[in-house]
Order: sequence, then C-alpha cells, then structure tokens
Amino acid sequence: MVSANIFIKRAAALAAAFAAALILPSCSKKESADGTAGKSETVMVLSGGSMRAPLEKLIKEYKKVSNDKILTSYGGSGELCAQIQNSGKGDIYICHDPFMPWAEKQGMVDKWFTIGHFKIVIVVPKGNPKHIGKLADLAKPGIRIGVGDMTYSTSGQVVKQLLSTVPYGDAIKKNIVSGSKGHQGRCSSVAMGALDAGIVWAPVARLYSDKLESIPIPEIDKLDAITSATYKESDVRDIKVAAGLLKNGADNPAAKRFYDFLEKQGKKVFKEMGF
Amino acid sequence: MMWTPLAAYLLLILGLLGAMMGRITWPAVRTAFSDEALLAAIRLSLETSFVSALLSVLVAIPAGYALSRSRFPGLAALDTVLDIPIVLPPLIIGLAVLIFFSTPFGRWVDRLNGPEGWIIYHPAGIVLVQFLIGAAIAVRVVKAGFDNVDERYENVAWTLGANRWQAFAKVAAPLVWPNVAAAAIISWARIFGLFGPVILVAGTMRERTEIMPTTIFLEISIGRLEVALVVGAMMVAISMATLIAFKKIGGKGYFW
Repeated sequence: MVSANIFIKRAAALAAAFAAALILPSCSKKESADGTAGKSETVMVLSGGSMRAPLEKLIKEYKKVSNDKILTSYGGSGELCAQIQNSGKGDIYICHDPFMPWAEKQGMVDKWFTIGHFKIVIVVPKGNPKHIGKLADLAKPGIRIGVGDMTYSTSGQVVKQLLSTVPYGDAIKKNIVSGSKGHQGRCSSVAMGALDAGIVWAPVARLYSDKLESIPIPEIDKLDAITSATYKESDVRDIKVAAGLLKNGADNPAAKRFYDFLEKQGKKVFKEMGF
Repeated sequence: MMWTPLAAYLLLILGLLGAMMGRITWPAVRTAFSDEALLAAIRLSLETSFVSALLSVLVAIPAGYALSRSRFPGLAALDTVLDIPIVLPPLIIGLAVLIFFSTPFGRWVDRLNGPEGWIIYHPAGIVLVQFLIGAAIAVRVVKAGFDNVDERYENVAWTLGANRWQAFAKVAAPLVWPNVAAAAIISWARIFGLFGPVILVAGTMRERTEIMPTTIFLEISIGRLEVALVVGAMMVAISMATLIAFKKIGGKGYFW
C-alpha cells in the first residue's frame, strides 16, 4: 500500500517532470509557437504535398523581397479542400486537378491560375533490375506494381482510363499489388524494394532521382480527354496544378502580395522542377 | 518455455528497429539536426503530448473516482460514451473536431481572440485532439484502479471523522497511484505518435503546428527517407526515455 505522503511526493515528482519538459524546451525558443503575427503580415498557404519542393523554393525567394511570414500546411489536395471548407481559414490554396474548379464552384476561391502541370510516369529502382522500359513491360508476369487508388485518387483515375485503352491493360491490372493514395509513399515503396514499379506524378519521381529511375508514358497523350477523377471532371492528358487566392484571404493584403508573386514567378519555378 | 513467445516478440521489435537504424546515414543525421524546424517540432511534440497527458490524468482521477463510486440509472450508457474516443478511428475524431469548429458556435469559440483563431491550425488544436483520445484511456485505467479499492476503507475514514474529500484524497487516491502512473504512461504513449487527426485539425505548419510525426510526413513528401528515419529513431529514443522515467516515478515492478 502506498501512503498518502508517498503519493503526494510521487505526484509532485510527476508534476515536476511535466513542468521540466514544458519549461526547458521553451528556454531556447526563439519565437512564440502561437504564431500570432499581425494578420496583415501572415499568409497561410495550404498546398498539396506533391507541390512542396517548388513552393518551398518560391517561399525562399519571396523571403528575400518581403518581410511577410508565409505559413505552409501540406496534405492531400482533396483533404485540404475539406479543411478549407470546414475551417473557413487559409489564404492561398495550391492543388492539382480537379479540386480548384470544384472549390471555385463552391464559392471558396476568389481567383486562381494554372501554375504547373502533372504527368504520370513509371518509377523503378535505380539500375532497373526488372528491365522495365515502357508501359507494356509492366504486363510481364510477376512484376509488383503500385498505383494510385482508382476511385479516390486523380492519378489512379488516369491509370484506370489508360489501362482500359491499351491491349495489355488487363495483364497490368493483374500485377497491381497496391492501390493507395500518396505518391511519396509509392516512391518510398519502390525505393525500398517492396514494389518493382510504381506509377506516380513525374515531379514527385524527380525528388527521388537518387533512388529511382523514371520512364515516361507517351500512351497518355492518346487518351480521350475527360475523366471524372475523384467524382469531379478533369482532362487526364493535362492534369493542372493551380494556385488560388481563397475568399478567406481576399481581404488580407499580404495574401494578395504573395499571390501576385506566385503569378509572376511561380510558373518558372514549377516548370524547372518538372511540373 | 514461458520465455519463448516473449523472446520472439522482442526479436520482432528489435529486428524492425535494427532495419530502421540500418538505413540511417550520417549525412541524414547532420541534415536533421541542422534543421531549425525539426528542433521546433521536437519541442512542440513534447509540449503538446505532456500537456495533453497531464490534462488527461487530471481529468481521469476525479472522473474515474466518480464513475467507480456512483450508482444511477444510465451509468452503463455514460460509461460506454467514454469508450467512444478509444474505439473510433483517430481520423474520425479529427474530422469531428474540424466539423464541430465549422458550426457557428465552434467558430465563435475558435475566434474568441480574433479572426486568426486559436484552435484550428494552432497548437491548442493538437492538444485538443490528443486530450480527447488520451483522457478516454486515462479515465478507463484510473477507474479500474478505484474499482479495485474496497469502499470500506473510505467508509472507515468517514467514521473516523474524515469528510468525503479527505477520504478520497488521503485514502482512495494513494491506493490507485500505480493506476494513475499507468494512465499517464498509456495515454502519453498513445498520443505522442498521433498523426492523422492532428494534421486535419492543426495542419502541417512548419514551426507552428509541426510535431515529430508531421516532420516524418513532410520529409517523406520531398523524398528524404533517411531524414524521416532519423526523426523516427529520435521518437524511439524520446519514447523510451519518457516511459522509463514514468515507470520509475510510477512505482514498483520496473527497473529495480
């Protein structure tokens, strides 16, 4: 049995441990974690995770010419759309098709422009151990392929349409062992050998260029234009990446400034990085 | 014979850890530690998880006692409501929080301090989600402790002149100390690595709402698997250090 005194001592020790954990890290803190900088100087950018690399580069450039604080939050383009709708927060939204036209229809967006484009490619581990040189090679027996979910992801819808038009589509479908959301996860799986090949956005594949090789899929240009990816329509031959000024950010001068910067500089940087 | 399953399970865990550590490279460690944002994420992870675990335990002690000692119609239903955050997928909890704060009342609460708000896309949102899950676990563990304490001890204290508070604080509470410590351990362990609902409610903002699991997600998003693994290894080290400290404070049975 534990006496009352020991209980109090132990409770105090636990409380002290909690307090130390809270106070010590804060001692070296440069800035409050609450980030409550003046609204006019803070811009909240919500961006699809696949667009992180060019966006970080653009923010770095922007910091050279502006004192505005750019806060970024990354996630799936569709998940962010739901967040914006429910939270009523965020100044700028960067996403791939089909979400921007849809968000505009919902009245969430003040204005937007196309900042880049996505193409899908095949990725294989460096050295290409399974000798995959073109889409048809994915039909070889025993190849383990990862693609985007064919119902819930835009790239998965593109793959679905692609496989319905090529004669070896069914053979490739038999080799698909993973249909998931998340291009980075698929690239990681291929890099670690859990998959022999994956179909991902080309700019994401570029981020893994030290571990993966990319193989283009020219068959994509022969497809019919429209798909209903993730229940909204888009052109599979040209999946666009869009940057939009949200209604929430329309009265934030700093958001407008950063939007203007993206409009001027964004396309170039996105293009350089494979978009 | 009895040790075989334990040894097999330990080997499985150690094998996974070994595989993870084997992929870490020295440049990745340097990259991770030179990143200011990662250091901020470590701070925020510790701050939010400790605050949430502390709040969970502070709520669990009186709540567990009340649930254990009360008898009224509907108690079983009330008790089951407390299990909902344990049973539900964490992502649904995050979504529910997000939807709650989209209602007029939720929006009013979030924007008490102005249009910037203080919960959605803020560290308080992380604490809220962690607390929702941590408190449910803590209440369950502390209640089990009070269930095992014979009420007659408190009755005796009353007959000797103690009031209800004194009987609770001086007799019942000390007897459930191991459960309180276990509640702190289990709820902290559950919430330290929580990710899905956290990004829904608080986003992945660098140096504002980025916690260590967020860093792993962000590093993978730019193809830096090795840096993600360094952060994973750091989470293992922090978890082990914290749990050992908790267990030391918590009492008998561990490490001595």
